Amino acid sequence: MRLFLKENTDLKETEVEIRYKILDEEVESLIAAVKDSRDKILGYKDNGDLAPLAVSKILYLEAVDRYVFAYTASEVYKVRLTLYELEDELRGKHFVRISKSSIVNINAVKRISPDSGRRLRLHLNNGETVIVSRGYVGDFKSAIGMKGDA
Amino acid sequence: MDKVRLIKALKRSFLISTCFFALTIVLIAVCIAISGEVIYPDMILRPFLVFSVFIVINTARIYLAGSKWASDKPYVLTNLLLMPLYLITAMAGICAFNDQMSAADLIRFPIIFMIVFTILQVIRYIADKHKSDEINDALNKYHKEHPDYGEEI
Repeated sequence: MRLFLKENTDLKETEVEIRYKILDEEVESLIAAVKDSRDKILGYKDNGDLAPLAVSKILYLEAVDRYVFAYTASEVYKVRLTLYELEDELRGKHFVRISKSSIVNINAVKRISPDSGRRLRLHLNNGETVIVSRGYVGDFKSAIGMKGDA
Repeated sequence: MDKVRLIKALKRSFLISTCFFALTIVLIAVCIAISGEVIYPDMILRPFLVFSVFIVINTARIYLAGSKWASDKPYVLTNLLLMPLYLITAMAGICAFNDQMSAADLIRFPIIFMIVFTILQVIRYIADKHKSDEINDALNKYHKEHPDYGEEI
């Protein structure tokens, strides 16, 4: 792999272009690293340590009592932003509000099954399930490109 | 036992039960106003007793339905397994407001309830499954159009 760095003062923001022959594991990890460095929010671990959290690694965010928690495949982080602020921050980054207390990463949704009361059950990549409230089913469907409400 | 989940279930159950209780009281009041029957003290007490049972059973139902085991299963299966709890609630309500139930009714009613409940649940699940299959197709399309690693130039 060859690395080229080029300074261009005319650019409005840094641009990264990856040229590859085959989209293999090495290229994918490079893409993930670039993406992770671009979209991050600050999370706090259980012991209070600050940890920059890659947005793409978040499966879902949930408000419990007065705190917001970000769930990754293996860890949980406390986030010092409200769900409304996060909703704005994550707009256009594959996240959608699914209930009054949760926002889900659409890319983390493996499959969908029906739930009672016209709700939807989202099965995430890590085996967890989250519920789309009846009032947010329409928003979820719009977010994945479906027209009309449930 | 998950204490947080239990409290959530209790709150939700209380909310649902309160709505049904209010509706039942209004319904009883309207029936009594129309028929002009005399209300006995025990009749006032009965709705409270029925809804106390309802809150407990509904809390158990919501708690069990939200378990890890149930979240992996189709909701129709969970509902059918929890059918005895629905049946107890329905029977408590019917027995509380109907003093003239015969032994035959006590056998007949649960059978009718179970058959109707099962058929309705299955029909509803099939309809919901059909809708969720369409959403799954849209999700797969979305995943193809928006790869996890970002936009390709």
